[in-house]
Amino acid sequence: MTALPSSPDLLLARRAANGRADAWEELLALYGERVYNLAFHFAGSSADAEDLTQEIFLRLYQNLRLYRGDVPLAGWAMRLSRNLCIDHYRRARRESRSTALSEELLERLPACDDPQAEAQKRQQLRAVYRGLEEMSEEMAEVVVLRDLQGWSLEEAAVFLELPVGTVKSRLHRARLELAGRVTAKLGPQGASTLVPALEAEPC
Amino acid sequence: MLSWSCRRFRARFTPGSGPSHPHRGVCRECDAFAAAMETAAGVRLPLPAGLRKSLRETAAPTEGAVLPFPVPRLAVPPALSGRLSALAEPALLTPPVPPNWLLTPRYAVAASAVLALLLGPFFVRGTDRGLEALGAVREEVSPLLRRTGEEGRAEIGKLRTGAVAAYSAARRSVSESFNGLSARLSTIVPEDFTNPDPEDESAGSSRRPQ
Repeated sequence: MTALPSSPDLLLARRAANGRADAWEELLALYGERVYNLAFHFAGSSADAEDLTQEIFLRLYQNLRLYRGDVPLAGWAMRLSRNLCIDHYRRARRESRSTALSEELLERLPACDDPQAEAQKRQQLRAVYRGLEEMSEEMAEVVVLRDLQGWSLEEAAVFLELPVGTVKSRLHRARLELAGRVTAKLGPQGASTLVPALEAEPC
Repeated sequence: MLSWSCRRFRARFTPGSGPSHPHRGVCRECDAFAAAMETAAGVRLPLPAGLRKSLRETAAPTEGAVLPFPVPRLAVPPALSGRLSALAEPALLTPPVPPNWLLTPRYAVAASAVLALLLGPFFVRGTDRGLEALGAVREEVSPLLRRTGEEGRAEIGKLRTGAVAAYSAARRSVSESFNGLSARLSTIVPEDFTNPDPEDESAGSSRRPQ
């Protein structure tokens, strides 16, 4: 991964570091929600997630001049606060907050006219979150980053400070483990009732 | 036992890859897993308005701020304030300037000449006095030294005379003792006992048992 001077992330970071308000605004628009959602996963509550997000962006702003553009900016920003994120995540896991199904998340489920379909979605969400709770921290982390938060492999690798190959292999094992747990929780009934529910989309 | 196709699907499935994968139509369990993951990944929390405002302010420093990001403002403690204001006192800020005569070499040369003129006579008189004192000391000390030498020599002569007399008396006494012993020995031992020739066995062996 060589540094490209014309990398959009690098240009954006340089503009923001030079005090350009529009660049900072663009940066917030690009990464604000992503960082907040990931912070919510780490913190497990909106109040802690807000504090964590603010801390991440403050560190990002303080260190923008050090960014060289050789890695994705979002992963780099998160890596600056990695220890903080890990602290939050461990505390939240201890208190079963990060993996417990938050009411805020349930409220954010896409609205559905069919109560049965909505109940199924809640059941699916619970199964995924419980499955994550039962997994080891490092396995859960990689699935959350890649599959639930939609981070690219490169971004996840930068944040986790691991080679991309290691992230891939860990993700492979983590998905298999989570799939086993989720299907066990949903059971044959859950699985059988899901197919009609999916066929009834959009929901 | 998980089939190879299920294993492959589960390990590769990521939400957003679409429901069109043929394996989902075949395997209900894998489809349930994929649907659950899609549901979980579909939940997105919007950035709260208050937080967005705070994040905007992160890059908008207040007027007169030293650092380009917000920092907590604390009042300066009174003791520290006093010490800081003392730093700016003029006496401490500007160190005292040394006098002109110390800075210019011309003044230093002139001062040296004046000092030489003033102190020169004292130094000359001091030398003379030193020489006088040395002469006086020599006058006082040399008779004493001479007398001590003479007396020492006399004492050494006396000691030598005494030692010679004692040595002569001792030598004489020893000599006399030897002479006495020799005389007594010759009276005790008979004349024919002596054997002038040790090689001649018959000469001195008259008293040996046969």
